[in-house]
Amino acid sequence: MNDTTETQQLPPGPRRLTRSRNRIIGGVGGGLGRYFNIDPIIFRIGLVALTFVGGTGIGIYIAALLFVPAEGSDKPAVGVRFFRGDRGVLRRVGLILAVLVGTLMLAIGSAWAAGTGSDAVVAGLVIAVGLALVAAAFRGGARWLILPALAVALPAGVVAAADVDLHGGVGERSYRPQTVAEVQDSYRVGVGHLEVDLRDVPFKAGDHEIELGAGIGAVDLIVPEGVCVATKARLGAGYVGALDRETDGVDVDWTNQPAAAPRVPRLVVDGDVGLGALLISDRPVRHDDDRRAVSGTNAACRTETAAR
Amino acid sequence: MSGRPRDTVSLVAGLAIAGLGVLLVLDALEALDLSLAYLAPAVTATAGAILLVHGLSRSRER
Repeated sequence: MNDTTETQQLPPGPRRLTRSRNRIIGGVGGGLGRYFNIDPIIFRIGLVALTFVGGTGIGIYIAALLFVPAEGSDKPAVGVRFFRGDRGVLRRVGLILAVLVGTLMLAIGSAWAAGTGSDAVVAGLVIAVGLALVAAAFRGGARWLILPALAVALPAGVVAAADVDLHGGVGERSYRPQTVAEVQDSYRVGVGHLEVDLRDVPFKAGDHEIELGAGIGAVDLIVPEGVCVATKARLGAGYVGALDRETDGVDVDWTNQPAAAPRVPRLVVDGDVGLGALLISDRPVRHDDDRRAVSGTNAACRTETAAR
Repeated sequence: MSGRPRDTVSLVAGLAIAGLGVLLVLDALEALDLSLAYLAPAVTATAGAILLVHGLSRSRER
């Protein structure tokens, strides 16, 4: 009895913000609800809503996970211990970073190999790792193999499905030929941005074929006025804007083959982009704003067939 | 047989990943035209199967 009386008479200690055990993910909403004596659902909805404001909700949540201690724990939060130089935490963070970097390198290596012609080798490796996991399952398991296996399989799968061809190097490529003879049959970049500006080329009547390609990135073709443009485009996923027409989506196979008016040159474009955009315009393409990137009317064509 | 318990998570993940590998081989040999529209459900099903079995095994362990 006495004990109870004494406990009730103790002055209330300062309220401490902790992550609740009543958790959905990390107990942040529950902890805030208890601290402010408000239903945690209010904070949960608020955090989800803030996630759509530039990811603010996720940032707040991660910060709370790192710097707010767990309920009932006498240790400071992980973030605090990290900045105090706690060796255990530093080691764990280092390990996580090493795993993330290793996984990223595996994924990039796998995508690069699959996109440069070694797709069968990567596929064989994925099967081998899968079978190794099956065999290991009967010897206690090897769950640590799942992450590297997925890091190899998924990027290779995306590259294969989008028909990404990474030949052509990485970076920015820009070409501005001045004569018909200087125009190459084919231009491509593996990963990056390719711009081919044909505005100075005095095309003569008749068909002029040009192939454009990118594994991952954007291809801009700037065409001169008075030229009819016929387009055939294949994209694994992305956007095609060809003068006054456009389309987007996954597995895009798009054709627009208008005929040129008499004595008008026709540029026959064959575009192949794995992941990205093919943009054909009569003006330099703007990549830095939300307006429609391409412009032009293709008025030099006599009749226009419906785009498929 | 070895006396160790079978790890269902490794088993299901291994089968699913090997299945993805078979799809990739068929695509590389041009026996199948893999597209993102087919790959996305396959990947989602793989991840779902692994997570489901992992969740079930955890609840069994408790």
